[in-house]
Amino acid sequence: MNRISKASSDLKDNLKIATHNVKDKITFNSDFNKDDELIDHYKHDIEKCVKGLSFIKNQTKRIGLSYWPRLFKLNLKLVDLFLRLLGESSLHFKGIEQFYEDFDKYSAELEVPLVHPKERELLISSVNEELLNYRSTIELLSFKVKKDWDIHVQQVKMRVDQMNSYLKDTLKLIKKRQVKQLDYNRTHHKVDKLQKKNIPLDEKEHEKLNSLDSKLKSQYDSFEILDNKLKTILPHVLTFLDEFIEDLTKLVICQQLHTLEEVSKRLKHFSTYHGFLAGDNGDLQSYEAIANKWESAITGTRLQIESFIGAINSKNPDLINKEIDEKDKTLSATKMWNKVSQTVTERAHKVKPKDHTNGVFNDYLALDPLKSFLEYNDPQKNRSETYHPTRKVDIDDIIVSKPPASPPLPPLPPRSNTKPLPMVIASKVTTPLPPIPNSQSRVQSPSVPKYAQFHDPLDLEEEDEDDTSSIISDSSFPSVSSISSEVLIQNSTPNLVERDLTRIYNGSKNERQVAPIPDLEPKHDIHPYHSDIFDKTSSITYKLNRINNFFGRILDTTNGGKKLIAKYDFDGKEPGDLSFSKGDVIEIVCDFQNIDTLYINDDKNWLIGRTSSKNTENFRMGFVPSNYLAAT
Amino acid sequence: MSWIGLKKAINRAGAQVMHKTGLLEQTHDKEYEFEEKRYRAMEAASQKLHKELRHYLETLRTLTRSQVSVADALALFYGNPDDILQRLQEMNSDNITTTHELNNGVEELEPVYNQTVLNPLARFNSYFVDVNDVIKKRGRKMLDYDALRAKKHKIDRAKSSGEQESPDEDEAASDLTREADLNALALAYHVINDQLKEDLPKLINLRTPFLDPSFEAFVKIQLRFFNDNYHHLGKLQLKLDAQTKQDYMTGELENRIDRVLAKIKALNIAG
Repeated sequence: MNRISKASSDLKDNLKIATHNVKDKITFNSDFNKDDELIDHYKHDIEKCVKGLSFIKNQTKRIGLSYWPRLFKLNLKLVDLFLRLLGESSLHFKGIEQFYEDFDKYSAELEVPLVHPKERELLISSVNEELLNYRSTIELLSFKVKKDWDIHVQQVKMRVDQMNSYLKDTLKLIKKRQVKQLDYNRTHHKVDKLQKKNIPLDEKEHEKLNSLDSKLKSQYDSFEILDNKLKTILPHVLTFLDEFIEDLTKLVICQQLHTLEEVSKRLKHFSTYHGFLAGDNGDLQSYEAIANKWESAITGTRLQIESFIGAINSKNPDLINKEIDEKDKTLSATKMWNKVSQTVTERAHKVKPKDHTNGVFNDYLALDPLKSFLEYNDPQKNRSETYHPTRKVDIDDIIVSKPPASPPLPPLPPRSNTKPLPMVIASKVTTPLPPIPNSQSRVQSPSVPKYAQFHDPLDLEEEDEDDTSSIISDSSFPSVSSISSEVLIQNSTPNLVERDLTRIYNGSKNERQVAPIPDLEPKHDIHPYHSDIFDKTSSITYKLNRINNFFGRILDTTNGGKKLIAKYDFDGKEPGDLSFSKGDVIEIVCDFQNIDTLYINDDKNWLIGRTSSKNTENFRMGFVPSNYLAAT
Repeated sequence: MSWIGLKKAINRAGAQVMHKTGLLEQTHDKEYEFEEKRYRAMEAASQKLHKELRHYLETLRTLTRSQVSVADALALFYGNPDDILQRLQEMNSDNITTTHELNNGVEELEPVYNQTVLNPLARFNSYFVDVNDVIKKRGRKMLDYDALRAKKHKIDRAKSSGEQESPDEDEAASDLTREADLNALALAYHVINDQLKEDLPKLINLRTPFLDPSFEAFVKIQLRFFNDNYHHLGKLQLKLDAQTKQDYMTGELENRIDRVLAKIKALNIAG
């Protein structure tokens, strides 16, 4: 018995030390209390943020999907009413046709025709037009603004929802930590109670103490995992939340600004068009000026109507000569009603951070260094202190892992300098020499558009298809570029070249009145004269079709060339480019650098290649940048 | 009400019932009816317009107020502006003051809107009360005239059917007075009828010069309002970094938000 009690007291001592340490760590450590306080603070702020964000989301939805559309809808309604009052066929009522009919019957019997009541209607067409234009302006605006806000609302909703779900996860985590803490404290309490017993512990109690102790340890471990995780995560969450809200603010401001700009721009255009702003140098009038202008416009009419009303029924003589003032004439009951409905519909929301003064993100608020310098004579004094010492602010930014960047690719060869030249080669390779053109077509008319001076190879190819001899004589090609003609002369046999050919060519050059400046458009600029099955000659489909024809022609005449290996991946930038990946074998079908010396020979060029494959029927073909290839 | 007035009213009530049931022959004037119907159309439209214009102001208020509330909520993330040093919250307190300026914008707008748009419409509608009085008067005169005419016809018919009764002097005298009464009533009716026929189109035609300036003012006030708001907000935007607007235009701003979301996702909170 004695032995046991001694052993148990030993055990107790040991345990005491162990638990004391743990206890120290969790309950007595001041840092720990601070942590609790801090996490509580975070929790409060995050809860408020979730509410605030939801409010912003809903309010944005309301503004975008309800208030703006309603404003425009009312505006349309108003202008329709104005139209009913002032516009064409205004003040028409149901059954007016009957009256017109009767009138027609009546006036048919008369010798002197009467003015039809329809024509007696006073319609000021400028007013009518103004109203109709206003209507279409508003319609347009309504459409645009609605579209914009639809998108905006969607975007805000999506992102705020996402953010809120993260924030809620954080809150859950905090709660989990609290639960673990509570569990731990409870077990700890039990252990304490057992230890405080003065009488020696019996066997059963020993067992219990041991099991409790191990439980305590495991609970502490799981608590610590959560605690550490929270402590690392929370500052980040707040930083990102700060960033998120800042960007959201910007987005909201920009969206509102955009809408306001749109509305005021359209209205201004309308007002200027109808002369509403005349006499003010196009500036906007102040409210006072608007009122003055209105008063001067209306007073005459008002007096006229009022004296007239007074003449037929002078029951309310006070009315006459009383100016229309700016007082709110709404009945007080109506006002009350408005106020009540306002409080019902109005949803204000206050985000209440724990720290009222500094808000949620208090430790990031920084002053402009210039301002701090002015204020404190020290540009560095631009940070308000963090409110808690254990809060770590200097944590590294979380980096979202990106796919490893591939080594920089060499620049693509220029495309522009290959532009006029392939044409020469293409014609040389694929076409027999053209017969002597007749002089009629060679005379160049000055009205030739400048792009006719330079053709793409594709154009020539296309022409070949129809009639080889029509290359020059075709009416859609009234001119031949100077380069082409020179090459033509160099390559043709002397008996085909007559002396007057040169003369006529040179003569036409002298007659040329349009500078042969090549178009700066990309190389696949298609001659607009071709009417093809493609409506849009600028479309990619069209270009690809032309390029295909071109390639087909080259394939017919060449039997493949050397094989090269791709050094890099290439995705293709323009239609007609051949995409390949590193290591692919590319068979060069046509290399202009080898064929023509005129061609720029610096190994930075576009070759025509095809993917090498065993099956010769299935391959892809296209332009290949030569500096992406290496010899096998 | 005087005794005569009461008697008149009772007589008219009877005549009105007969009018309605078709027992009494009704005087018709197509020309007048046409004008009255036009006038009624104008009355209805203008009253509705007044109502909708009031409604419009409310909507404008609601819109601005909700914009302000969003701005307030955003600003409060950065603390309460009442008890902090203003300069610590450059951007967002600016947002709040600016949107309050928007609110002031509505307050500025209201008096002018009242003066040039709402109250003129109210005034215009108040004219109808007077005109309606005259129209009612015409109706009464018409009833009197119709009733007396019908009475006369009845007596005449009775006379022609029972001609054997020799007309005594009394009846001849009452015939004469009836005739005179009828003429007087006809005159009264025609005077007022002609007056209305002439004056209603005049009033109707005056609507355009009266209402058009209000429409112009309505448009201009809106322009001014939205433009003011635009400039208030624009001032604020100047304080944002210059990149922001560019980013907004290119959609980069949204991408930035998405990147933040991606980062917070990378924290793996739930996991």
